[in-house]
Amino acid sequence: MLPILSLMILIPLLASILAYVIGKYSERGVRLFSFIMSLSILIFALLLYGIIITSDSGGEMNFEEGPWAWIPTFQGVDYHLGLDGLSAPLVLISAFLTVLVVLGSWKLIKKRQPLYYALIFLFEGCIIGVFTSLNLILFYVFWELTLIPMFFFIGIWGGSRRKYAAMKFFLFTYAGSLIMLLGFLALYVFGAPTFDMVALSLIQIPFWVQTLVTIATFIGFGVKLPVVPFHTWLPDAHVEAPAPISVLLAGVLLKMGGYGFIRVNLTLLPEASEAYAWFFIAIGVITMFYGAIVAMTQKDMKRLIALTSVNHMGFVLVGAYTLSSYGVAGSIFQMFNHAIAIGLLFMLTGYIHDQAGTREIPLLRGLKDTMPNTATILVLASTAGMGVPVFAPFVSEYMVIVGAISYDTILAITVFVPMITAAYFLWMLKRILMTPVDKSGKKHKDMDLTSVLHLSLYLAPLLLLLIFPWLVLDMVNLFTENLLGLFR
Amino acid sequence: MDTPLILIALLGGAALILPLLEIILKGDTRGRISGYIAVAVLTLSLLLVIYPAITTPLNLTESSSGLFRNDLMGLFFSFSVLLVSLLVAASSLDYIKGEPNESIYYSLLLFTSLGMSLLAFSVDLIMIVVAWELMSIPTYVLTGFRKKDSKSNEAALKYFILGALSSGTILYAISLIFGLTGSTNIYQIVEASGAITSGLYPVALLAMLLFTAGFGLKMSIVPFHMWIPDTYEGAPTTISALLSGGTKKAAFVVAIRVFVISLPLLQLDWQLTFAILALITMTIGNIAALTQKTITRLLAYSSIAQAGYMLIGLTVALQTELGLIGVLFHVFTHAVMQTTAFLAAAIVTKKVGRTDLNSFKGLGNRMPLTALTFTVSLLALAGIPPLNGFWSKLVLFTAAIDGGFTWLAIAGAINSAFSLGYYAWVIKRMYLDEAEIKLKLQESNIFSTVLIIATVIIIITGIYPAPIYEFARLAVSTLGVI
Repeated sequence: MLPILSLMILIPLLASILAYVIGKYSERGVRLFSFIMSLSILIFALLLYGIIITSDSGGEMNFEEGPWAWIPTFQGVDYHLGLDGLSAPLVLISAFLTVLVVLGSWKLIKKRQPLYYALIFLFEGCIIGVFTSLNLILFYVFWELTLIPMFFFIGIWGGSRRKYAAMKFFLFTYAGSLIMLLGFLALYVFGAPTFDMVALSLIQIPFWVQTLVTIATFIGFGVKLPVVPFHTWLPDAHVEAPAPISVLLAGVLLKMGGYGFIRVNLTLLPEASEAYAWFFIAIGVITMFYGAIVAMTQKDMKRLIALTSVNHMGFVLVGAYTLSSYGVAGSIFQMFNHAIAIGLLFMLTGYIHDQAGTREIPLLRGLKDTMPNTATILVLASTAGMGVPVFAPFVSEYMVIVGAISYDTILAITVFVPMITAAYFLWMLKRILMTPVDKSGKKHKDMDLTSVLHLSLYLAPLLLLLIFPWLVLDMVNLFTENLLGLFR
Repeated sequence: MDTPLILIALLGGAALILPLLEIILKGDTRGRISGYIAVAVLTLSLLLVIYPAITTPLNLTESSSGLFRNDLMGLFFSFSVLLVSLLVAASSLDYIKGEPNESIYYSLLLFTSLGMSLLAFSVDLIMIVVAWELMSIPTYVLTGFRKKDSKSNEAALKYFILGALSSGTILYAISLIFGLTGSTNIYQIVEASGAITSGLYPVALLAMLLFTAGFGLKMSIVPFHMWIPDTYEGAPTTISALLSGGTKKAAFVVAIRVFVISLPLLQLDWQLTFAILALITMTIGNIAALTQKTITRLLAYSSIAQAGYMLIGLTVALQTELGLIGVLFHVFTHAVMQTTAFLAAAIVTKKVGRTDLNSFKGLGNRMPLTALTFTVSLLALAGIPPLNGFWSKLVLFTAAIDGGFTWLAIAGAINSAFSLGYYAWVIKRMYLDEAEIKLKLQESNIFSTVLIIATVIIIITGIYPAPIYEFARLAVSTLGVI
């Protein structure tokens, strides 16, 4: 059989080299190549997704490859890939966002394009690797590799404080990952001599080992997600990164944390997850409220959206640790929706910055008159961001809240989070759109039709998923049922 | 096939002939021809070392002399150090071109390589001293090779004085061991060490301490590291690569043979000592590296820190096989990574004419290939997967947890994270900062070739580490102790 998943990883990696070579000759050529290449990877991903959803096999591993020994005498280090109801949506969203990022970069990225597109594909290959690896070491290899393109993205194409942000991002996440690696090693030494996730999920691991590993992964995944004490790299990285890269950062990179919590913590360490669920939920709730409240005080639009991300990732953590079918499925669905919604919002800030020359909320005045197209999309994007029932994030957020309430009634307070979110989004809209036009200021150019079309591409799946949530949930539910089987 | 004896004939013979070329030939050809000869001889000896390791890994014969043991451990280390010597010799074709006494330089380089290789095979304490001197003395001269450069002289003098001290310490330790056991052969010491009465334990302990200090000086362990930054900075940078990638590794093989094989009786004593030494070596190396202003000093301190990681493996050598495998694995990966980094630094400092870190600004545009290879080697040193440095650190940390030294693994991981601080800082300068002078610099073909080969080794052994790991594992399992 064809090693489909290896191809899914290898094709972007090869495309990365090709993009660099083509880019040396023609910058237009590399843009076109990147678009075609990313589109074909998306089609590939859609195909795999379609196969899984039509065969109702979201609960098990599909297209499994391996385990093939990587270092034969170092037992347990294998090459093992698979795709199930948790990873398939995330692979799909990564491929989807890559296409949109490539499109979004046409206008906004002018500098060193060959390297830029090469790194985009390197990142895509690694991220698909993260979501499909079934061996902790392989997982870690891809996990760390994503840092390198991101470091250069922020450092080369970023804003004025880009070098600081790039270094902070690199060091912060690397430190977190190393502690996570130590956790994996402890699992290997004290638990069972294998790094294979499937094998480990079948083995009863002593509780104290689970506790130890949970502490390590909490730091590793927590930095990525991010949860509140470890989130400080995020606003800097997101704000300094160029808009298309912020889309990748918030849309895909953060999902690695959520994925890790579900794939590693819930699946491999069920007893510890159950015992310490209260802690993770508490941290999740703090993250939600913290993100929402701090976002309210921001003056920079991009920073506000970056903190929205923190707020929304809190939902992912809470949902996962409610260990109820609503909560876990909602948390995965939330990752999917958030990726699209936040991508749209970041892209918008990029366009607004490009046209208006600023992202400061007090300086952006009367956009409804000066930039009507932008204003319309901004309103739609905000409704997606705040979880109004016109777009799919509504479904996932309320699934998580239902799950949380079923865990403990006191968690009904999470209902206030969408409320605060709505408040700061509406306040932002009021300040940006409804204020009178600044007479002295120069006139802003509105975004053109192609950009409107580009941004509508984000909105389409969100609307589609509100109407047909089963497109994702069918698959996710099968995975969730299987997962929760470990807890009964 | 008796590898050590063949190496003596090959490397020693060539090293003796090269100075004659200085007399026979005239002008530029002297340096070029002796350079080519050195590269050819080193390539040949590298093949000679690989050949028995691939064909007959498990039934190697004892060396006829009795001073050597022709085993996989020796082959592994001589493979690593000869690879470093080869890379250094090849890049020297460009680096020292046109300087006086080129033939002598290559001759000394071959003598050092021979010393390092013999050290890898030695199982007799007397032979260890002889090989140790054969390795050390040429490097004293090589460090001071630029005789008109005061920094080079200072470096050589400092290195020589401390090196002589270390040789003396080792000799004293050997005399104590001989007094205790009546033998200088490592395997006979093992047998005799059972008979040491408890009243003589302090003497044995003293011998161990002296060995640690003597070897530690070359292994660049804190607190015996003071000479390293000055020497690496003052020496021709290719020689710094040799010192860091080669001689340091050779010291490790002796440490393995002496501590792990011949002194297991005192295991508890040296284990905790090594654990603490590992901790302070890593930490001080990394903290000091963070504050350095010149690239050679930064790499020197990074090299010290890396010795700390290797010590982790040595600490748990008796609890788990993974410990020594980790040491060997890291010896190989570090040899390649550090040599690549030093050689990249060598060409940069030669072209730019400065060694301070600011001269690296914007290097990504000025010398794209050098900057790329340098970046790969720095990322490997930091332990970013899938480069080879990641795997050896992985094995070392696993070994530490397996051997009951979890705190050491945690310290190692924190140190790794910390070390990225300065490695990434150099990368930041090369790619994110704007150059002060935008002018593109000519990259030399020889250096480019060497750097590409080394980088390919880093990447290939990173993506497919199994052969090296297997080599290291077999070397450890045939060592005959664990």
